[in-house]
Amino acid sequence: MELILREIALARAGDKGDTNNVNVATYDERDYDWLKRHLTIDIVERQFHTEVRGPIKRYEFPGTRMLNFVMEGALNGGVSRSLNLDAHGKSRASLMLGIRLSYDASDAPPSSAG
Amino acid sequence: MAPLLRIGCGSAYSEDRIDLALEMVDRGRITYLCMDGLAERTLSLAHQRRDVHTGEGSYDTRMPDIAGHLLPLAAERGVKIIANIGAANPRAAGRYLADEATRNGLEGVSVGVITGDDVSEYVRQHDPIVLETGRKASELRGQVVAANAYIGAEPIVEALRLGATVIVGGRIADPSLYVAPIVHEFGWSLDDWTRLGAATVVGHLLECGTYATGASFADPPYRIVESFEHLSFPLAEVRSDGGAVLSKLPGTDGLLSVDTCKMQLGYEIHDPARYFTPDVTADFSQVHLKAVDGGIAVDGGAGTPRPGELKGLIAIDEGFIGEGQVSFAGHGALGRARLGEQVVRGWLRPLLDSGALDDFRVDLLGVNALHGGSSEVRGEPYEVHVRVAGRARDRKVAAAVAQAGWDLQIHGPAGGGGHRKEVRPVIAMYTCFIPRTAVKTTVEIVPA
Repeated sequence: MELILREIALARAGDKGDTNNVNVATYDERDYDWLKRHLTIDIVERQFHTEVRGPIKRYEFPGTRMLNFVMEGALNGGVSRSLNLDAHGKSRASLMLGIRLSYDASDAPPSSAG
Repeated sequence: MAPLLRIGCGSAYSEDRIDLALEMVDRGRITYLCMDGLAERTLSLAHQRRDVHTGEGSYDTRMPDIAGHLLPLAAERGVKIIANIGAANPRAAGRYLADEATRNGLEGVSVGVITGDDVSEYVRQHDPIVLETGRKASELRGQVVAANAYIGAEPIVEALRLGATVIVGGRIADPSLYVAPIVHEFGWSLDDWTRLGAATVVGHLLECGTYATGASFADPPYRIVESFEHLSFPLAEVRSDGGAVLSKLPGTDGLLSVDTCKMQLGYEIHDPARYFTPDVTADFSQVHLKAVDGGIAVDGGAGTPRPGELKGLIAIDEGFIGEGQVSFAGHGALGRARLGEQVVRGWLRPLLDSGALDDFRVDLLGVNALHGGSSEVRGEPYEVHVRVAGRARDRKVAAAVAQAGWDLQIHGPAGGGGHRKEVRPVIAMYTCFIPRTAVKTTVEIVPA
């Protein structure tokens, strides 16, 4: 089975210098633990590898049940000097939500059971 | 029950809408309006605009509207304004506001000016290590335009104690603009880390303006915002323990929900348990958000002692960016755009080989401009826009890149149209740490 992250989650991206962060929350908070298991750093690196030069770290917001991916060397030098059309990297939230996640039928996100 | 403090957002960036600030003062029943008008780049632009003799133009470009419209309404409603709109010249900003208050016969206006964030002299003398390069500031290629330290709530609290009703400064950290009035009104101590952390969470949720109230959120069919017509800045009703209820002005459009607040909570955050500000190391990790009557309840913010050093930004003159663009449409548009890219790279080959360009790229808008090689290609677009961009120390080199993109309309593949070009200066921002002892903030009250 497969889903596109956008079907179950929302995200926003921001910048500090040459670092881009994308925070991700599930629409249904019951899906958070599933997201933690499936949206791994490896999968995010595969989606972003052509755009991000530095390491990617993953943090958790346990209180609001969100994940936060912090990507260094992500903006070709940061907003003040980058040649990127989107020098802030704001559109990267949509790149995150385009990630396809595969799972076993027995391991569907809880929200899909209704 | 301890009294509640109502604080409204009045600006989130240097060109944000004044009409939304006016409405917040008019209808928000707030005690404080806090305005962030600086981003990493904005301050260096203000330094560039500065006239060394008069200081003219070196503060927020909206100053005539702020002094002429917002200040009188705030004075009438008894709303205090706290803003970093002094940018590169807080003293001149304070003088401007005081003069306008006098000219308009405003009663009870007292302007507080905060200075001390300018650390150009420290950077020149002590040559700190730049985080991005790991080398000394003097080893950066390009002249230092300015250097500023992020300063915190402390001098604002002092200005409030001195009776200021309008407070302007330079590089005051965004959340500190909000933390200060909360600290002042509830009489907290500046080492009450848990409460300062909680107030920082409130400040962070308010500081980006409409980002909390429905902007940059709609993604149909998953995320619907019914109307953007009449947006509202957010406001908070803060309790004496630092918890708060966020709301927007009644009768406005947009959207305030747990999800809009979640997106803002994580915005521009790295480790949620350790968000460094000049005031506190704030802990956002245990924050919880809940829909309640009248808004979204925010609780659980906490903090640990403030960082030992302040963050500094060093602005470096890195030359120019040149950008030239042209569009193709119809059958075969993508093929002609790709041919155009090939052609322009050929024209610029001598420049590229000469090393005169510090960076160069060609994007195909509609195909790969935003996500590069990670773009998911689905079919062939009807229109493709070619963008050629380069950064160089020499203005002529940047201009040649822009010209090459422009020339594609005439000398390139068939059917190119809508060409445009631009050359703009680059002030690059680099980060360093500044010892607190090197940053002496001062508070002055400018008589109106």
